[in-house]
Amino acid sequence: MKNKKAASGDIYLSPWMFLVWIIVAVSIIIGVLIFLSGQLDVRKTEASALSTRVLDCLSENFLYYDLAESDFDIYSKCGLSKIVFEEKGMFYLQVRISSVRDLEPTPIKIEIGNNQYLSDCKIQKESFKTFRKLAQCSYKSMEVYDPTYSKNFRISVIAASDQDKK
Amino acid sequence: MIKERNLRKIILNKKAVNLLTKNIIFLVLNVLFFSVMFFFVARAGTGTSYMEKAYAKQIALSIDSMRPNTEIEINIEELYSFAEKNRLDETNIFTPNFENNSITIRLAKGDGFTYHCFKEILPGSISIDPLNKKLIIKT
Repeated sequence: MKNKKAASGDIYLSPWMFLVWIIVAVSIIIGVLIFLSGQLDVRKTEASALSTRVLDCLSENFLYYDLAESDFDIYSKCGLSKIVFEEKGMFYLQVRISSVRDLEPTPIKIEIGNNQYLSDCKIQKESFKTFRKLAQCSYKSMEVYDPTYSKNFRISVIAASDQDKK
Repeated sequence: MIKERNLRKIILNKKAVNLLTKNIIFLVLNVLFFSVMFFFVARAGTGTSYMEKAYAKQIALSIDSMRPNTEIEINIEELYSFAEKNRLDETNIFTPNFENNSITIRLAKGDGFTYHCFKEILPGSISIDPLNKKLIIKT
């Protein structure tokens, strides 16, 4: 049996053909945009750089009582921008300093930035998955020796970034 | 008078021409469509807005990752050629904002792309060498 539509050529220039083109075009555009935005997502690297920076600055000439002082300012100590952390709320940083062996002296907890990101970090850590819509996090820790206490302390850092997830 | 046989031939030829025209239009449209898609994919990774974002993020990450008392130079020749192509004043390519602790890359008319650094940017720590087309950052 002859296909009348095919014989007349209408099969090529039918509205369905244009619809297929539109679907293909939209799929390619979405695919390319997703790929490129993934390449430009530097939040994980940024969080890692932040945690490294804080560990470096706190471990240098480490003295527990300096950090335990009430007027200790992590912004000036580590050269961090107060505007970006407090006003813009793009980052979160949590530092815990405690003795490796016991709870003496009292552990210190320093927290700055947008603390909503802490739950994002917990969700991703517990599920062992990375969710692009959530803030990206970095966990780092190191041991340092304090000569005044003659003991080792552990500095644990959680850093999160959610700047420009696009 | 045209004979019935000739008349049928003419009608058949007309149909064939019609089919050929539709096929050619279809092929031309196909070539056009795939060319447009090819150029879109090829240019997407080198477009102005992509380059603005890529450079702003790279520079911000470099500033954030720098250790104290170091100096780095970033080649920004590519940014100059983009600005030249888009007829933008070269002095507007890179703008540090010390109040917001951010940097802005502008390669075309518009606001450009702004990205914040978590490390405090101090006035005088960033400068541009327009002769060598380099960005110099000191900590």
